[in-house]
Amino acid sequence: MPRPMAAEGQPSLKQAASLKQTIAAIEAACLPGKTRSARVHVETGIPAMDEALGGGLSRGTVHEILPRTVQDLGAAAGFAFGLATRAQEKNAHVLYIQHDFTSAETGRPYLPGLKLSGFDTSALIYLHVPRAEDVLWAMNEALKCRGFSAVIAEFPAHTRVLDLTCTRRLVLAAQEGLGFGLILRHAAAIEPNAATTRWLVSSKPSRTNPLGGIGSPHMHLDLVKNRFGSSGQWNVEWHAHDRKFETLPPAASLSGNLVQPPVHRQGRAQPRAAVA
Amino acid sequence: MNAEAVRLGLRHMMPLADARAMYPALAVETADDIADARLLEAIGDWLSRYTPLVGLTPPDGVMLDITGCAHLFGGEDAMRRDAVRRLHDQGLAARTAIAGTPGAAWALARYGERRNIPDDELKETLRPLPLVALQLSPDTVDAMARVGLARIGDILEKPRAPLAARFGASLLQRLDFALGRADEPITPRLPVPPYIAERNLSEPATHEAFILEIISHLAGDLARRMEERGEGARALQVTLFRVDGAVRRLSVATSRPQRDPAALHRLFRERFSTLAEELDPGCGFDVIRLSVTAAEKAGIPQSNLVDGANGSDDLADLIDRLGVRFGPRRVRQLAFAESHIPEYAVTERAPGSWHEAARPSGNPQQQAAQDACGPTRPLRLFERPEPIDAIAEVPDGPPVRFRWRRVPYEVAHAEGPERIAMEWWRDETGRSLTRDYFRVEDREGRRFWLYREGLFGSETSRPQWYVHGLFA
Repeated sequence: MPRPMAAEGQPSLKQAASLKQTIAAIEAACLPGKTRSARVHVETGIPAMDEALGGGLSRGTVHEILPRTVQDLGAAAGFAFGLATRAQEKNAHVLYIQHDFTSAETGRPYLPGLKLSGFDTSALIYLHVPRAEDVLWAMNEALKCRGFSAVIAEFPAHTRVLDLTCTRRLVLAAQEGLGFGLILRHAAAIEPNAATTRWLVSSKPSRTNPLGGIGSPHMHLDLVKNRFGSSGQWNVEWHAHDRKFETLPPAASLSGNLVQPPVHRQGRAQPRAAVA
Repeated sequence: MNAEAVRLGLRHMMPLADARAMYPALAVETADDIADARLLEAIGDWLSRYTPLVGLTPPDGVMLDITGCAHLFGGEDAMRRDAVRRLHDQGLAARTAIAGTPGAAWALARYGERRNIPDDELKETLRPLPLVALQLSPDTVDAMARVGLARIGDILEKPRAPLAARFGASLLQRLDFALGRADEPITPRLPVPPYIAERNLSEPATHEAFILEIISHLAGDLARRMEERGEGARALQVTLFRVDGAVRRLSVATSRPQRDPAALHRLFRERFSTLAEELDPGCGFDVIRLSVTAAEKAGIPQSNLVDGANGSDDLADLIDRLGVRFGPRRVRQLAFAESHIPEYAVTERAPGSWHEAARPSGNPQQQAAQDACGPTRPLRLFERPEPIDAIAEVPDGPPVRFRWRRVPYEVAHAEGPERIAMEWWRDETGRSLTRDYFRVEDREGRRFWLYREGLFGSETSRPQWYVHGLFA
């Protein structure tokens, strides 16, 4: 099927992303044992965000979620669970991995809260390991497993285990499985790694509900790295009842004109080696 | 008594003063009963290479049921000689005997001359032995000695009723046990596993990879036998017998009946990799045994033609490996518990029930909050609530500002209080304070779950504030 090419003879980033997606979809449909991943993307529910991501957050790879400051960890965890909720499907579990330090320092996922956020709690398997190295090992093993729709692993702010090699290995492992891996770090780190996307998450004041109380979780998402698409920033709310993210109606936005259209990155015409 | 002591003329139970009088240079050690008992257990473990049915007869004996095992070692006598030789190599002097009943074997090993007696000579062989060989209490032996009964032969033909009347029924019971008129059970030290496979190695194995290879072969043997009976293993144990007598046991458990040799191999590979210290093969392991310590009914696995590998099999396999590596208590499935105390509202259980009911449906029961309102319970709960400095209105107003981990927060919105009192049956001291929970949002939009402990005025004059959880 001929496709229009960009004038310079180079496919644009967007085209490359959509081509990759098509290939991935064909592969998923043809390769044995991959039928369940026919849906290669998890739609976030926000058209602009899905467009920047080339259809949604890709399965079979690893994404990184960072709180903008240490205090934003709650929002970052909320975003991670939101994505996991979006990815949930029948007979697939979600693995949450913490180690002793992170759980003692910042608490554990709390089942009643998860349920009220729309997460199917019967799918959750919680793994508690002694060290950060074990988190990495367990995440690697779990990503290969075909029983998970998402594997969320928490890492402390300062850790040496998440280097380029290790994360690359995680991405390769995730290609064998069906779900995606979410690395939830306790603080923004600058080391390069192989995660497909990197999100900086910060809390935003919620809209007050009609009764005057605190409204749905509201957060600011900053997609700072996206290997197969453009970056962007969005203010989103997590709507527990509908189990989806939604952007605020502009009038209701408390923080003025922070909702920006996705910014297309320049100077990266050639996408890097395929990780389909 | 070792050979050296016998040569010097020392005897068992000889007073120390007499022994010192004979040999003033004699080195004396205080008896260490606990260490002796431990040694006996270790010997028992090691002897389980001959038969799985090993019982201890403290303080100094081990009883083996070798029914059906002897031919594997070239007959009863060859087996006995092999055991004695190997024990000798380990620096242990052993007296051994084989007989048709445990009682007779016990008596012969200690008081007899013959080492292996056929059943029809049992009575005649026991006849000259002292009565103490029947494992009678010293009081009974003394009482019988006073009336001139010293040997087993003395009571063999006596009428039973008067003997029982005078010395107690246990005397006749012991006699019956020894002669095989009644069955004396051997209490095995360890339960006898339903399936055992083992390999004797002419060349002791020292390399982990080689040992794993053998385990995998043994798992193949067991898998065939389990399949015949439609069972799968829930718990397995590898027993490694080191040449010098040390015994290593490594156990793994599975979350569902498992008999796939490849999966079992993976489990043991994980188990080996978690050993805190090295396996320490020393001069090598010469017997490797794989036993299934718990088995359950298991159907024939059906593989899905379309999907290839089955996702839930894959998952159960992973859960097992995680359990072996990190300990089964670290892999949990969380569940709701009936309690309104936040920290008790969640329980943990082992993820093992892969029944349809336990599987996620993909459609959670809609308990989610209305979209306009945020959830009333936090996404993360601290293992223990962290104390904070908060400024709030008395008696029960929400916090206005607070300081947590040295960072000040200005509260913009607060919802509450949600008053939660300790459940009386958990409150052992009767002094637990009532908590007033608030959902607060600071000016930056961070949402916290705070509580004030103690009702102002009635319970305390200075309530302490805590942060208990974080909202998304």
